[in-house]
Amino acid sequence: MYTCEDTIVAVGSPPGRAVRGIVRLSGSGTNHLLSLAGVGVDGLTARRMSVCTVELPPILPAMVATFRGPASYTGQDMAELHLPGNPVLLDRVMHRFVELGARLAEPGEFTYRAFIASKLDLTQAEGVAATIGAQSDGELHAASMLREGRLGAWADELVNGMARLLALVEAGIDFTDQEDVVPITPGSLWQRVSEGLGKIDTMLARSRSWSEVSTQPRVVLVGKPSVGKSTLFNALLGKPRAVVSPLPGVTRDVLTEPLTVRDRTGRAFEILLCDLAGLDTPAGALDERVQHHARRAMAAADLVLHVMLPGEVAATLPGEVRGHVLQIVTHSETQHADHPDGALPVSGTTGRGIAELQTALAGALSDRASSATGSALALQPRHTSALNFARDELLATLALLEPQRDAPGIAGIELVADSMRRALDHLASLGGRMTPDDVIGLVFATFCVGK
Amino acid sequence: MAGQHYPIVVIGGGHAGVEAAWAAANMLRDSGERVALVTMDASKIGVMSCNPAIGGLAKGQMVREIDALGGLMPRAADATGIQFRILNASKGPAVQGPRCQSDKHRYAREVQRLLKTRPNLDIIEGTVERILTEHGRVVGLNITHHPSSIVNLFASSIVLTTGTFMRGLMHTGPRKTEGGRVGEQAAVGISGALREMGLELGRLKTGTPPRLAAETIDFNALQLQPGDAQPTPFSELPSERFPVIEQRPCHITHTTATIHDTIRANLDRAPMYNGQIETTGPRYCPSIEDKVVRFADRASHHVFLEPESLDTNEIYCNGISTSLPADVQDFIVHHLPGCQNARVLRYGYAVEYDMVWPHQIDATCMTKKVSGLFLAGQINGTSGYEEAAGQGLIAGVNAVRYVGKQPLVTLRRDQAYIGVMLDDLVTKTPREPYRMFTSRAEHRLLLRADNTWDRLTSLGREWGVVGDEQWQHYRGRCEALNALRAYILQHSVEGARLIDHAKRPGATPATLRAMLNGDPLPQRARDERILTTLLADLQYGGYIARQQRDIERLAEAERITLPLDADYTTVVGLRNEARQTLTKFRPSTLGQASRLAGITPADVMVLSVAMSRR
Repeated sequence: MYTCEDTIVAVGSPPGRAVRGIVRLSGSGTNHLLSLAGVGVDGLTARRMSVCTVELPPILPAMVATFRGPASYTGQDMAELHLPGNPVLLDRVMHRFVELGARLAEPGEFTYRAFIASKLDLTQAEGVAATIGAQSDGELHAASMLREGRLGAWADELVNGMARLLALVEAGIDFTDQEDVVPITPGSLWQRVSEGLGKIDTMLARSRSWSEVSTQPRVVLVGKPSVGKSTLFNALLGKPRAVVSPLPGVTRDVLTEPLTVRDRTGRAFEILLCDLAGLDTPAGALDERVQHHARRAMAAADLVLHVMLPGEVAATLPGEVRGHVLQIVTHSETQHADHPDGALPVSGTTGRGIAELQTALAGALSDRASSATGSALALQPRHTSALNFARDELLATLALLEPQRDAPGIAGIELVADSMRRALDHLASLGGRMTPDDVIGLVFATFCVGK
Repeated sequence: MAGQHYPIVVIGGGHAGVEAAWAAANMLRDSGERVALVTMDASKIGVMSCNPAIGGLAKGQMVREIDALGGLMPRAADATGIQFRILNASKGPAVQGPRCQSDKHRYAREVQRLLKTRPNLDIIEGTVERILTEHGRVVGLNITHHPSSIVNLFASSIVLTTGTFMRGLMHTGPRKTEGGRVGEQAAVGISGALREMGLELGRLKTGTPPRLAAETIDFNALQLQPGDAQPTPFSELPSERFPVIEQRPCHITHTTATIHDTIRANLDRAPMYNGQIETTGPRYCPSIEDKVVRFADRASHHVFLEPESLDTNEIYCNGISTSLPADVQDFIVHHLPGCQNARVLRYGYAVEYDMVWPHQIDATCMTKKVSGLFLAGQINGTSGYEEAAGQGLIAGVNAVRYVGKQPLVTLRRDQAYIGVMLDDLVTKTPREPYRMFTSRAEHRLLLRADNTWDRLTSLGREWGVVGDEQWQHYRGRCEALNALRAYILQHSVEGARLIDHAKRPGATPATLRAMLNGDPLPQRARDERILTTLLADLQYGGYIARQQRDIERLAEAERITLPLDADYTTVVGLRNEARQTLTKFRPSTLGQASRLAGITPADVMVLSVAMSRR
């Protein structure tokens, strides 16, 4: 569990967008992994920054510093890759190293290795325990999204279901000489493992990566063509970023710009404001793609600003939304007609209502953590990784069962059990520890065993 | 005999005790040192108190492990088996378990005969009253010698195997009898002596079914359960002939709705249900009253009628373990098809006994409180002859090593079921008597019955429990396996290499043997066991490689030792619950700590940091 033998990787910079982000590696395989990732190592001088590239693909410009053990933080060979500070990118680079054979570091594991290598003195050592505590607190923040956000409960339920299935399989191994143990059939097990797999797939599809959550919230402007979204976009930014035209369909790509807004209490939020193409019935293939991108951006947004013309009926949005929706009525400089209840009147041209909109926007985002858990869970890399490993094991289980779905008994039952046990262990790392004793307990609860 | 000194004294002549004495005597064979086995009745050494059978799923693997370590049980079982079966024969080699029905009288006699072949082993009759310690170390013991004289023995180490005898109390209906087995006394003094030493005792329960007179059963009316057509011995040591004695089938009958109704009507007379027994029994070996209550929808349960001996008429009723009063047992028996006129020779009973919560030993079987005191078998909360024997062997080996001031040894979870068992015992508090299952072993594909010699025999040689004959035979096995592994890479049949034939599903030792016509192969290469191991290693290849990686990944935590006197209350950053659990269990390694219930990965991390600071 806490071996120092393998090579670990983690994003070493704080979450969020910054100029630079750091991916750290530690372990004897560091240089090998760097060369596998296309980072030139031979010409590198230890403890000096070198310009390099990382083959993701695409090929990314980066800087790399290597540290030869034992003269490094962990006492092992280490490397730090300095990359553009985009959390999504850092996440991908980190996972690239996992694909190449590195393991995601557990919280505090770099420090752990440093300690094992006697790189820290006594004071620092005591600090390590405190750091771990702090990291658990940091995890508390995740927990508000995860455990309360039902990942724990979800995993518990899946773990229990899987353990029950495994119990049926184990009963067919350990209690076959018993009177009423009728082992589960391959067909029925296939069916039920597939259901479990489906749940994991759904979770992976619906969840967002942790880095996505820990970056700035995305706020998108949505509405029919020519309702003045781009005018509003420029007004919010305070600079003419989008091309504005009275002709419909001028905005084709998703434009994104950072913006700082403050809520009523003066708390500042950094957001990403996105201007989308008008959502309408597509007129051609190109249009269709534009519309598709716009819909996807809307679906992924943390806050949707639904922009309407005065008098327009507040129709439902054309597509899925997971964030809050604020309704906005534009062109309020020309008309003071009715607008839907709660909609904010705003004029991009005169600037009327822009300050109010910014406050409302910040207010809507301040409880973003809870709103984000409403329909989708934020998963840390460790969670995604555990789910993917569990998924692989369940796929292996299904592959063993597939050719024998109509057979009365499971051939290779010990291999099926091996894969299921591994899947269970991965799932159990998300919550709901399940020991062999617990599985055996389930057998006893299900069957009358014992001559 | 008074005042005599033995480096090692084994207390108890059950399956744990005899294995400990056998291992210790073998290790000391050339040293001039003697081993004593103290038992209440020397004629009861090696007695099968319950089921007249050895082995089974996971248990059979353990018997083969004992064989690989030069043990006694497989030899006695092979010599006295009256029916041999490989359970799960249709499944993969990792989950097959060899099992035999034994002639229980011959089994005990064979154990006694084998022990007598060890000239440095003395058998002493008596009841242990006290264990003498000085400065936390064993120095001797007091025995009540028949009829009532007290004898002192000096001993540097003691292996204590009390079975069901420590304050044993038997229940048949409302009738309670003190004793560890029918007709035998209980050991009363030892419980108090252990408490005085500061050990925390618990109480467990087990049960046994009625025995019937064979001549009063109509076997013709019953379904036959024969043994394997080709019986397989437990031991891999060569033997002149096998099976040694006449083979006998078992028969199967079943309970009926009438029987279940009667049991339900008499539950208030069942000690398990009227509060007379408060301890819980094993879930895997439920009494018939338990089965009727817990699985009320079932109208019938199988009952296996197993002969206990070739020489006597005793039939063991496997499936109706009970502590109901005698009249209800008569009713049950007489309503089993084929048993209308059966005569009960001995009624079933439940027995409660004292045990020592096993968190007080470590995986070497030595108590943490008292140096030189080793516990093995039911006293550690296990059930089963095989579980007892496995612990006895480890305790015997370590008792000798302790006296010789050598480091004590353990088996890892990836090395042996015996290792899984001892690790489980020292990291979990058993709520019921502990029994081995294959599902307890995370490295099940490695821990097979066919490869126990490959896993353990060289280790046993190092320990001194594997004699020259076995060692030669083991070297022959290695040579044959290596030759075979090379051969199948180089030779082809029908256009495919033999290794590819061997990897195909459905390949068996017989199909592979038929393809071996090569002259260069040693004769042993055609042996069933060698071919089985070769095939299993090939067929599980990828899975085994993966398990091996897991083992390596976890190995470091197993290597980091924790001091027995660690003060967990002062470790910065540990949660209170973790401090309490660690203080109670005092794990020997970081790996053990991580397996304790209620210890989180974060706790282990904090702990490892604190410990490497020492």
